[in-house]
Amino acid sequence: MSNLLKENLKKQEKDGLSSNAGLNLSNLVFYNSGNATSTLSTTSTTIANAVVNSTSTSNISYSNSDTISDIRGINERLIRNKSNLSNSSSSKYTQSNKIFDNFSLDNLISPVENSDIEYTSDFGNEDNLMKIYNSSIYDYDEDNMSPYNLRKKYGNEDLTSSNWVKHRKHFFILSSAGKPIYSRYGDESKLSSLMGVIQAIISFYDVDNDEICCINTSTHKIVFLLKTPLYLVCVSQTNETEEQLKLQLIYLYNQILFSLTSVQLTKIFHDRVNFDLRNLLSGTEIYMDELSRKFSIDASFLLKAIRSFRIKNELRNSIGELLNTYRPKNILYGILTYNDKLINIIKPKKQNVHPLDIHLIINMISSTSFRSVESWSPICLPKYNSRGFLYAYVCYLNNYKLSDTEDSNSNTNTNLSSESPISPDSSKIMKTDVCLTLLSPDKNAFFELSNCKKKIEMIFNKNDILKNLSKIINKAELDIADFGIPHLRHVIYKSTKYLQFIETKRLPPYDEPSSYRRLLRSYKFLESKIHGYKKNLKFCYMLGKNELSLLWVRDDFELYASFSPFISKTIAYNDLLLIEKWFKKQDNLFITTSQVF
Amino acid sequence: MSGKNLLKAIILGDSGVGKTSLMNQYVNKKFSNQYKATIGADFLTKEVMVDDKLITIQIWDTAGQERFQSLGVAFYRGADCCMLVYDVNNMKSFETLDNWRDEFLVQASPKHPESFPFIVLGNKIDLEESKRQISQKRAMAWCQSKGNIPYFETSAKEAINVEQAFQQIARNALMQEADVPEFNFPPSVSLDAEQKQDQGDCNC
Repeated sequence: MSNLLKENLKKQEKDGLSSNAGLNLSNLVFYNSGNATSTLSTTSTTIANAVVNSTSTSNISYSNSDTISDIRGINERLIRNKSNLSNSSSSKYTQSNKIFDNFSLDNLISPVENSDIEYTSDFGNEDNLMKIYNSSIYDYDEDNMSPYNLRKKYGNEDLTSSNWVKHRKHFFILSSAGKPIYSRYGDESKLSSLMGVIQAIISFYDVDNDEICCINTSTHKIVFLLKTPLYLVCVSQTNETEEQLKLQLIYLYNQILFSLTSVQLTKIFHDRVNFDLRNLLSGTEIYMDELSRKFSIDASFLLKAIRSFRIKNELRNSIGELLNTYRPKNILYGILTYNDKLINIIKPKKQNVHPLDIHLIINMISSTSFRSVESWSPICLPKYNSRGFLYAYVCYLNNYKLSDTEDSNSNTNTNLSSESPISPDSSKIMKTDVCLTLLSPDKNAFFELSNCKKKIEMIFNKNDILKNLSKIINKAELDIADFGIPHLRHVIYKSTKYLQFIETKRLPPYDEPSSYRRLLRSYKFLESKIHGYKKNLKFCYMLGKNELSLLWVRDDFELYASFSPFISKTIAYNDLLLIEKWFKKQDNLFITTSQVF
Repeated sequence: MSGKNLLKAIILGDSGVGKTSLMNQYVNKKFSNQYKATIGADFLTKEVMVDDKLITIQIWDTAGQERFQSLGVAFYRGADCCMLVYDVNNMKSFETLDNWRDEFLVQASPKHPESFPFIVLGNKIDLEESKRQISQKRAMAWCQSKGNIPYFETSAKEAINVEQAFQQIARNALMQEADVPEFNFPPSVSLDAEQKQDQGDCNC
């Protein structure tokens, strides 16, 4: 491994790079922030055949003539595709598999002046993506495995395991001393040599007061997030952009703050820079494992929004009112969720809710087995206040089944219920998937909150709230059929105002995790195009072998949709307008007026 | 301290005294007569049992050449122990031990420099006695004067004392580890305090 470092350090010797641990480091692209001039001189003398991109200026220097011709090729293709939109499944454009590598360069789409730019990208890159998929033997079965089993399966891998390098996305967390803290795959102590190498690479730039951001190779992207005393690194072959991967690292960093608070983290390493943080974080790896997994299969992290539970406004409001009426005196938030969806939230008048905090809370609830117990744990919400702890009371609510005779009721109950009756005596008590979370600043408030939960549970049952919820559980998810568009396959609608989103049920082919990952990847690609583009880009679409995916962005919403790949762009466009109109008419999608106190 | 244990060990000394060979002998049980200068640093990991505890030693084998010294701060940061290596047949490499030790203490700035776990290794004792320039007595006197640093005479080539030296330094480092700072539980959040409003809050 140290060859990698050595080569970096060979400022004067440009005799090429060796490949290590499966990372092919030929044809490197370095992105650096900070001092632009020193960056350029440093990296361009370090790496042969490098494309250097400094984020602080718009200077881009090409030292590789192949790259320039690639870019020209893509420009031509874009223009040609624009004039020949219906026939985009062209196999003659063989350079398309490099499209992702070079797309980040600014001048790529500039020849197209229209503000509502549409472009296709034929799936040469899909082939590339599939190639990457097939080379990774592990990815498919991950979706059905519990985090515990995943760790058991991959936990003993190290640098020498042939399978270890094949994982599509690695996450590493180390201390600024180079000591391992977390690795998504493998035993982090066995990877401590690698952590040393990472620390050395970062230090190499640090000496010049520079900061390394990203290394691009032809197959991998290595993204760094430096939050001294912690360094976070992602090594990915998923074709996600640097920004998207950086956001994922930020989530992992916030997950650590979630368990420790920034005060404690700073103090520990201030007192002892050689501290082994793993001992303090033990037990929380599961949260990081789950986050790492969800980045690829949960749209919340792409949209930076909260997944909302679809429910009639009337019912949502009465739930909010009841929660507010019976809430404990001293709390920050009261949160009611159904699985990973937010039903309602109560909060202080002046206090807003940040989606990132909610994501971390929902990740905590869904990662652990809170189901049968009342749980009480100190947590820190980094966006609310990263300096102190709150205490989270988490408990699933019970449904007292009052009438066993109602057939329809018991049918729907089986949907809602996750467990059989907890004991023969209390056969009328059903555990539900509705979960109540109360956050208090008082570490002694457990019994108060527990009593409060009992009251809320009782009043919910009295008002048939849980019964009503169970009745609509089937309707809570958007159904594609509601839109009456036969070739429509999947829709995500995000309200930019409320930072909430709703997604249609995953019908075939998206009930297959691998297909759904592919769909999310296409959405991620569209998102990076829209938000990475300087001008006011509103529409973006991408035609692949498997689907035609579109993204339409307006000031107040973002609409992602996927259609059959056999329909024309014009039809899809018109359908998109219909879908948007449909959404505008709904009043049951989001929490629009939450209860405040 | 219970749970996981990882020690960061730094190997320092002039170029050519056998730092990489010692590490290689210890981790891979291999020795090569060919000299290949280390550039920057090499990293190796070794798991070892010390007093019934499983310890992972993360070994940072640094370059002896002066042109890599600018990376010192970064490399020495957070080290748990440090091995100073010299060649018993090379007077200069012994004389520079002082510099290496001082440099390390300045750059790593450990909390208790006087009790920081160092160890001194006089390497290449397999060569013929006539070539030897520093006597054991002289080396031990130096170690004594620097606060009783443990001293080992080693041969990476013949695997003499290598295992023992690493065992010793791991044990010494663990004794430092025992001195764990107290963790104050951070204060709870006060709900009344004005919170700074981040961008991107949910308006629900």
